[in-house]
Amino acid sequence: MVRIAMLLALGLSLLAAPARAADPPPKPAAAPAPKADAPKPEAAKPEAPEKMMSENAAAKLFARAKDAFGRNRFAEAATLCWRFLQRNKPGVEKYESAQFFLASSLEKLGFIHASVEYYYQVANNRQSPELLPRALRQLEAISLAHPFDEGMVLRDLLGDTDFGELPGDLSDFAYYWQAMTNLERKLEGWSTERFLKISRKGYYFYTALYVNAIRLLASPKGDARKEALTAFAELFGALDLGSALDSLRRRGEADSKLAYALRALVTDEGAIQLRLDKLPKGWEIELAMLGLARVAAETDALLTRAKETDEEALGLPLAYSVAIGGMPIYTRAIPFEDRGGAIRAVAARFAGVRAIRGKSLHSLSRLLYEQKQYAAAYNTLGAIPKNTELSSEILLERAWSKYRSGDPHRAMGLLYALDAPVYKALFAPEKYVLRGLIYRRFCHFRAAKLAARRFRVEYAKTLRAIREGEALEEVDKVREAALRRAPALKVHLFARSLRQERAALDKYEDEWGGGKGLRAHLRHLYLQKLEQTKADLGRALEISAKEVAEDMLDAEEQVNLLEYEDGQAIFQRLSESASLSQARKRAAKVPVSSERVYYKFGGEYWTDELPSYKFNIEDRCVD
Amino acid sequence: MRRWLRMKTRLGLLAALLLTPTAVAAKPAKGPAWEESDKLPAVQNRLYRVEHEFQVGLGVLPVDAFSKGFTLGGGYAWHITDLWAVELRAAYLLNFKTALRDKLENNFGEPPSKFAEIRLYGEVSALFKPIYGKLSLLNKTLVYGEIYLSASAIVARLNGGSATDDEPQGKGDRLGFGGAPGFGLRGYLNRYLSLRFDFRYLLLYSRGEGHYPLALTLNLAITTRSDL
Amino acid sequence: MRLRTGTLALLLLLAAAPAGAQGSSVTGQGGELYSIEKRDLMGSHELMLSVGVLPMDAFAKGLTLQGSYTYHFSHLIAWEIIGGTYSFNFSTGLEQELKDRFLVQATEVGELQWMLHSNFVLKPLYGKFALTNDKLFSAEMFFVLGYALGGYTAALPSGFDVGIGIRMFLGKYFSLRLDLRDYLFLPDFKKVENNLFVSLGLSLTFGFGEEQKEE
Repeated sequence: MVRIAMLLALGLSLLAAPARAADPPPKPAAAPAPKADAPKPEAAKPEAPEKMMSENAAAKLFARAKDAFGRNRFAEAATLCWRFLQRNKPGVEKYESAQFFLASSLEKLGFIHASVEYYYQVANNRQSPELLPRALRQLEAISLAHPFDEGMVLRDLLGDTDFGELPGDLSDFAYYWQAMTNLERKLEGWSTERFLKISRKGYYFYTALYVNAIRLLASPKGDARKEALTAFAELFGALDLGSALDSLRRRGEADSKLAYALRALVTDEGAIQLRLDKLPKGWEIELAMLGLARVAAETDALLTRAKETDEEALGLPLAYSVAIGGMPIYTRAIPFEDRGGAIRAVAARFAGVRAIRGKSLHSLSRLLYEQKQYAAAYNTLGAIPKNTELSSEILLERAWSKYRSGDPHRAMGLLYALDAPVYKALFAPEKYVLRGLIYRRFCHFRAAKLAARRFRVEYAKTLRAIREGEALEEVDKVREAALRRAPALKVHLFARSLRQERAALDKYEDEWGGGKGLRAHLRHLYLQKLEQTKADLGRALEISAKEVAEDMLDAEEQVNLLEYEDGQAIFQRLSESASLSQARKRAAKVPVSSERVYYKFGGEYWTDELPSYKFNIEDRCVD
Repeated sequence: MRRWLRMKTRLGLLAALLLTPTAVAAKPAKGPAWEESDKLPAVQNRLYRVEHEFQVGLGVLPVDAFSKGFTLGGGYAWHITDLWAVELRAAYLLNFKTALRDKLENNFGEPPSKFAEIRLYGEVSALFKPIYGKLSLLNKTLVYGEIYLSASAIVARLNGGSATDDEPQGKGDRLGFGGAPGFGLRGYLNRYLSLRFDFRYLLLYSRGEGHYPLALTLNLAITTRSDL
Repeated sequence: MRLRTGTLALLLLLAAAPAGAQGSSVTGQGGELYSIEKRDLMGSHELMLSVGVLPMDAFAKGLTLQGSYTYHFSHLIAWEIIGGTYSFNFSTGLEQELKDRFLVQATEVGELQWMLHSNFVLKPLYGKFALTNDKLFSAEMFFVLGYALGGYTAALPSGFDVGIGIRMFLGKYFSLRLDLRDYLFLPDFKKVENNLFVSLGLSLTFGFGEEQKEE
């Protein structure tokens, strides 16, 4: 229970923790805010402007830059845009266009952070209304594909700015991040209001539904609960809630916890009406699982269809079945008039929708595990699309699920997969504990002791450093592990890409050289951001490192216990009579030829094989 | 122990997931270590990684109508990466006359010097080794191997050759030059030994005459490892 | 002699080296670790069409078209019931030269124009390959041995063929095959006509049975 409370505290503190050091005082996001509030990034200020240009020369220079861009000569276009910005004052004609083309050129060349800085300028100044949506669109695309300066773009720019009418689905991008910023600032009502403005299709809708399913778990009482339920019910939709309830009733499950929870949200006439006093115990898990299952099912159907978006395919019937861990809940057919839009919206952000599907399935599997539905948790983990969630987490969680559902052979196989080189820096002391437990399950006590010993070999130095009170962020293994955990992971990935991009600037030494050249400017820009990120990373590491150290000490305790129990068991077995060994169950036989191929492990890890390892072991236990 | 049997649960999700705009976060890194979010190679720690290779082998040049050549050869290869290697090879030929040549020599008095024969040849090759894999033998053992393409420059010592007005007694001892495209298979026997089969088409040119024998060779290779 | 003994000893030592480069971290701890995967299957029937070369004949080089039908009994055994090859021959000019200079007929049997064969197929090796350590494809290696009939311009000898092949799976129904075979014909059982044959073919398979459930 202590651990749950700690996790809750951590979860909530992280919800509120901004990526940037200085948190502005709470105010509703996207309330018309004076532009001066947003800190201006360095990119805005060309150092010591050179001699100003005439209007005519400026126009010619801009035309050359645009021409170079049109001919895919992005380095040249960047140089010309930079020259334009240096020799003209903000406010002159084409100044923002030059910023935009500089940003686009830098993006094309792979300097994502630098491009974000200039897109930010264009979007933040809003001097050229026609460029605003274009800049926002680029920022949105970057936010979905690369590590980037989230504090600047999502909170400062989107969270605090009212953009008015934005074309198409761009407004969803703004609404979503305004809602998230409000949620961080604990402005629950404002957050709900923004979430409900998101159109009911595409990436931001599913992400909002996902977030609000999780929000139910974090908001068990008070106003927060009401807001969370309102947002969830409205986003889920009366029709879908009603379908789920009807379906449960038809199957004779009207007394299930989920049915009671649904009845507290929707009337028999199919209208949303909250009756908080009718919520059953555990409602938050039931509804969260339903929300996650809906996201997983609907995105699955749409992702399959999004590969074909010609008119004929768009019109074909489209239905999805929502199931929680294999148990069907309800089926919904998307009406004809909505199909095309829903499919096109998913196709527009295919990778993003795939990622949110991965997250939903992952979260759902964890809830199923918590509900002791281990086989369902295992299968749900197996459905997570490749490369969306961390494979080490999936492997470890699948191993636990298999162990708990009574298949230690597969569980052990999955644990061995975690020895692959890609997981070298993985911090998972549980791996040794679970391995020890499984060996013990088969009465291989020496191997179980060996697993415990391997834990000690791996972590002895680290544990000593922790006990001696060394700064946790300075202890290698703790630091490595902490870097791969939220909240440090995102900052770490951003810092890594900053370093890579900064190093790549050397390629343009000739073209962008010189004391006041673009290269010097960008180097300075990257250096500053790196320093700022370093500070952010320090703060994030502090949190993660403490958590890692605690886990490590916990693991040591478990290993001690395991070793002690194994020692006892070995001693007992020494007195066992030899004839009893006849009763052992031999390891499963491998067929000479079958529909499955068996690759015996020889020390080489094939990435595709990691989820399919099985450990054949003799059961030495005697009944 | 019970605590360990519980996994990170729903509340842990909040920290990790709520504020993450996307999971497709990282671009592939060029550094030596992979992040999990990077694109991973198909084989993470290749079991058979060779660097220096010494080989001895036998072969056959079976196409010529007048003589069949059997080769004794050896060579050295330097595997620069898992994908590329350069190789030096030399082979000595034992030539055996065919029945047709016997007939021409014995019944028509055609002198042996008029039949061109390769005596020995040397090759400098580049090997491109894109395919590495494993095969399960009856679900019991694994056989590891690779398939590669080769391109060689060749110098050969030839003897004999058809007569011309300038050289009525045949062409005698001479050098021939050319190239050889080919492909090969390697099966690893263990961490230091492997068997290679090479299929190369020699395209030789010498003093106005072309020779195009096919060379099939089987070599035993002793290799050092690049990862030790 | 000492050198030879030393070399032999070194070779024996190398041959005795364990097959695994790093050895398994798992063996010796009471169990074996396997990756168990569903294999790409061949249906019961296979139709194959290939292009190839017959490079051995010094007098004519053959470019071939081959077709065959194979019945697969199991994952391990198949019977290539019938296969036929037609060779488009390109003369090297040598035959004409011999005729002109010596009035000699180059061979008694003439040029190989077509072949028929029927083979037993053993498929003990199945696995996968990585292309530039990135893309994966599954493959099997098989061995063939069977009867062959050679259609020469001047003879019709029987014989046998032996070979090795690699099949690369291109999805459920198609696979790419590289075959290396030697057709040995015995005209009048007096001599052996040796024909090396290399071909690259595309196979279509069908007739998949019901899936067996295995764990």
